[in-house]
Amino acid sequence: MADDRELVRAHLRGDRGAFSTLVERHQRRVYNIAYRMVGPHEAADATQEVFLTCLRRLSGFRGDSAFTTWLHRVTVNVCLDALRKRSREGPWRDAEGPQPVERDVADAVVASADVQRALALVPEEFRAPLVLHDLQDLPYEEIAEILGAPLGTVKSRIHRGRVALARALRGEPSPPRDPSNVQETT
Amino acid sequence: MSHPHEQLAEYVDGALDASGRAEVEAHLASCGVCRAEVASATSARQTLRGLPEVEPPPGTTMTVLREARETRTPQRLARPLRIAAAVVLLAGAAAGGIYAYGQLGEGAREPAPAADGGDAAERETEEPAAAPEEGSADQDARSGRVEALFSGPYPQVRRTGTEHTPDSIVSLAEDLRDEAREQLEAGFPQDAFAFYEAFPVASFQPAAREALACAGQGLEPERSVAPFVIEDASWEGRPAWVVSYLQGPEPAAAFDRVQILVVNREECALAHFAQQRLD
Repeated sequence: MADDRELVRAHLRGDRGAFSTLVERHQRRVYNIAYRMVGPHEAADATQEVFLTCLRRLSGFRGDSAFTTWLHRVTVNVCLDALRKRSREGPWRDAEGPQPVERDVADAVVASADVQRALALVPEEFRAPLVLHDLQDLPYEEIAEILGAPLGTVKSRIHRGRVALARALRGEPSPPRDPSNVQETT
Repeated sequence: MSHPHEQLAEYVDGALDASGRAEVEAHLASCGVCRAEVASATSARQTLRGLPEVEPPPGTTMTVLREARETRTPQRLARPLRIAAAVVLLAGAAAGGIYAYGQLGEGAREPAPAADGGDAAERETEEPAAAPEEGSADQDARSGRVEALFSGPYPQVRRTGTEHTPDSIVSLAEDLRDEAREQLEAGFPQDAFAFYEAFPVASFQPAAREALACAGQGLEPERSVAPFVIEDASWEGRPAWVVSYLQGPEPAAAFDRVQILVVNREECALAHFAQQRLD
């Protein structure tokens, strides 16, 4: 089986079958990230946009990072763009907002719909590393490469994302942004 | 003391060594805020990791590729990479069968009618532009045109057995240049993208793949290539593939050159080389 890099090269040489193999191979991963980042209603559109963006930029993939790292970066950027677009069109909340969970989340199995609603309340800069780490099981180092952020920032955002998620699950308001954290992103 | 958020993530992940853990626990003993956060983060982590994967909707690949074809961006933006063609061909062969593009219609991709002997195969491939009139009913459809004008798939493999010399390769290059010009005028794919769309790597004959795997080593990495005609012949008394390619500066640019590479079959090694400009 050809590896991702070979498929990218084959695609750039004009073999159209190569790109469809890349889509087949990675669509599940991309869709799952998008689903948790932008929610179920926009996940399919975002997934499509990710692969179209890849197609447009594939000639810029130099192969100095793994294809999946590059693909994850495109995925996160497409999702963040979708969220920004949505926030320009009005602050997004799920129709009913999060349903407070009337029990101790530490012991309870929380329904995934509740988690999905709560995830939507986790600030974006925490949500991406959280999804990549706790759902995609990526190591801190790869997430740092994907996000172009220092390793310490990634770890700190994962922690803050988890805390924010737990708060959202309990129906508490999101924590205020930490100015020092925002600075780190620039 | 400020709250050690970085270490708290690692602490919750169980990624700290003993001394790191002791350090965090010392902080937790005196910091109620962090103790509460660790409890929250631990349960959030557990919740997230317990979430099921979701299934992508069916047809994502088709949707993406249809959209891509409509915008036709890859042709404009893609550039060839520095690689040996052999790698491309093998990767393409592995990948090509999974999704077939439909632009040229099924007819263009179907293998040539089976020839019952070497002579018949030769006759057929010697006159690839034969019988264009028969397809005229379909002339408006690109698929009809292609089907009518090209007999069988490319690259063509011709069993000539010719004992080639440097001189005969020069005249072969001229012949193939003339043949390529005729074909291109008749509607043969004009660039590498169009070529692979019409003739996916997966559809190449095994003999063609074998020949291309050897000849690919001799290609210039920056050029984009499409295999054209392959002769099963001989060179210096030994079996050889005489492989011709149409070449362009990039996949979406028109072919501008015919190149011939002679490879020794037994050693899979490049033996000779010639080329002719098309324009």
